[in-house]
Amino acid sequence: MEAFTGLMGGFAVALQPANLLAAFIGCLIGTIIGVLPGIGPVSAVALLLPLTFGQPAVTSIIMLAGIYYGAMYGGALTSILINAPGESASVVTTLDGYQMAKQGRGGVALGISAIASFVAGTIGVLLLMLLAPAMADVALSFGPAENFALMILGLTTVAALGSGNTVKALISAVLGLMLATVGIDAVSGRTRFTFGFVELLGGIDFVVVAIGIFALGDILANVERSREQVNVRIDYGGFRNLWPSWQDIRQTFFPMLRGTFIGFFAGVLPGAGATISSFLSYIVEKRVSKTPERFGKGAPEGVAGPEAANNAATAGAMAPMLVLGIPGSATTAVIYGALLMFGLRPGPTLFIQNADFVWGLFASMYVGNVMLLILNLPLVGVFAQVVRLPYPILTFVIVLFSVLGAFGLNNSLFEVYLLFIFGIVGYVLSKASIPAAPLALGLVLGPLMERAFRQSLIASRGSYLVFVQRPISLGILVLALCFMALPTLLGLYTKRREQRQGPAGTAEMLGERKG
Amino acid sequence: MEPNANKKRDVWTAVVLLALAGFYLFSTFQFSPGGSGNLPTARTIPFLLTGALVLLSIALFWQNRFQQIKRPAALSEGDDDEALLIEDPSRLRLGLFLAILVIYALTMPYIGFLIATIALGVLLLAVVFRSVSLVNFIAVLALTGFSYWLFARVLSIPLP
Repeated sequence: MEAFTGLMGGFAVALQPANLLAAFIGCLIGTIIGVLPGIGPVSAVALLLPLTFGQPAVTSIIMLAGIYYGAMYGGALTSILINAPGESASVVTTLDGYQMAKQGRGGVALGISAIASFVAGTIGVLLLMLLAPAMADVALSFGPAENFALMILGLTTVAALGSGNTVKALISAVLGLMLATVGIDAVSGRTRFTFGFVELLGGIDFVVVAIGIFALGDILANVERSREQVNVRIDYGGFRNLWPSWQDIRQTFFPMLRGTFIGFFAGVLPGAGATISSFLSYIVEKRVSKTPERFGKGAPEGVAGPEAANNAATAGAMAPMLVLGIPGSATTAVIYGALLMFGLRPGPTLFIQNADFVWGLFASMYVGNVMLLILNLPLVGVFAQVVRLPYPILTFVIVLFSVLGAFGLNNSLFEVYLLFIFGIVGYVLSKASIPAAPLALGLVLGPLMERAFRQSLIASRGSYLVFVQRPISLGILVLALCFMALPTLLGLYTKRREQRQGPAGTAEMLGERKG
Repeated sequence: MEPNANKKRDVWTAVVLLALAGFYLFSTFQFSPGGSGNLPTARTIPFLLTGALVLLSIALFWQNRFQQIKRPAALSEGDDDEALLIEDPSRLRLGLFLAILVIYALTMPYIGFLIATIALGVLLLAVVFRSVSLVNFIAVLALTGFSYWLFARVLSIPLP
């Protein structure tokens, strides 16, 4: 009942004209960004953050959330039509989506993708709405030691699950934490690592780092490669061909539901996110199917499950960020940074102190899902043309918005210089195959982690045992250790399996990528 | 990329990270720690982070020194767009791009946002991408004008 009342209040906020417009703009821009290869949701949210300056917090976050889940759908569009995923969570959609397009069923695949995204987005928000307040109640009893352990868990799971090399991902997280120590120490008031720059006293702005390492870093990496426009034939058969038949709907109903639940709970887990959930959903669908041989050859379930999963994951990823104050992905880290910029502190108290904001955001996610469905089906042809945008112009736009975004933070060119430095850092990280997402998370969580760490030690009079003497904190730290060990154990398992069955056995699960 | 090149690159990464840890530690000693007794000070976290970076750098080095089989890298952001690309690595293009960005940032306070940005666009098209056309030039002008209107007029950000 409390949730229902909250949601009604939320709709009163979300349906205000300014917020409706923000959701519309967010979904539209998100879809366009999702279509464009080389610029993902995280770059989009970071780049467009400055556009929210001067807007109320709820309006801004509604727009950023719209960009986030709009990008998830946009990524599917090019995956299906031209076998080029706009972002990593849509890679698995190419396996069957593109095959359907080659068979002249591209429109149906797009329709299934849109419906799956809508169903998953809506159920995902419902799950978030039910789960988040309950999680917040539990989290309210946490002290600094538990909060510190939770942040360690967040960083280690992102490092362990979100990349191929745990050591490199942990290095990235440590670099982020190091950057977070720049500026005035909140406890002692001492100045650290500012090297005489007054501009660094307040620390390094997260937004500058996010735009630099994600947007500009990607651009630098792409400029090094010659990006030539490839002429592609885009044919989905027109608006009428977007509607799936009853047989398609019957076939994809349960995959959508399974994908939704897989996606939501994978999204809740820091680090797992949309990409892993879409692969997981594909593997599950192939396993439960009575005709697994159809997968990879244009099975509609192979589109419905992963598309539902990656959209539900966006709702799931909001849970740890809003409730525990732990962003589980780079995109939610940017949204987290935006919340801090607007004076909102994500965490269990957000549900008490800013209930209007939280419920307004939840309600706007419903509204956004309806908007996406209405936008995406009729405008599919328009979105598909976006992929033809000349790359030099796209690069110019990204550089321009990066510079304006960085400058607009403090109306200072110092941030622009920092932006270029972090652009180079992002490029170097990509060259060294070090993932950038843990760095962003480390930078966001760094000050909070240090505060929780020092508060815990002050309370225990300097005893480091405080983190293992409290049962919840100990449990969370053990879980973090397990997550860190997981990739190594999985690697050993895969190696043994390959030794027994040959390497083909492992690759078999995802099927061959043809065409 | 060749596995050996990957290994070599990782070894160099480990060396650079160790140097970075050394510099960070040196800088940590440049500020006073504050605090008293065995309670944590402003230096506590930097010390712990230095230790962590050193350990992880050694682990990275160790991975490449002793690991026989390299696992395939997992999918990460930025790996998703290969289908639309035709590879032609060129450090020169990157160098030119960076040089133009630096010139842009340094000259903007003197010549103003509008002129600097139009010059940036034209230079990017002409020097980096070699795709000067009337349509692209008009696009640069229009985008510069639009962004100026949006940021300077609508969002009231005082651009140079």
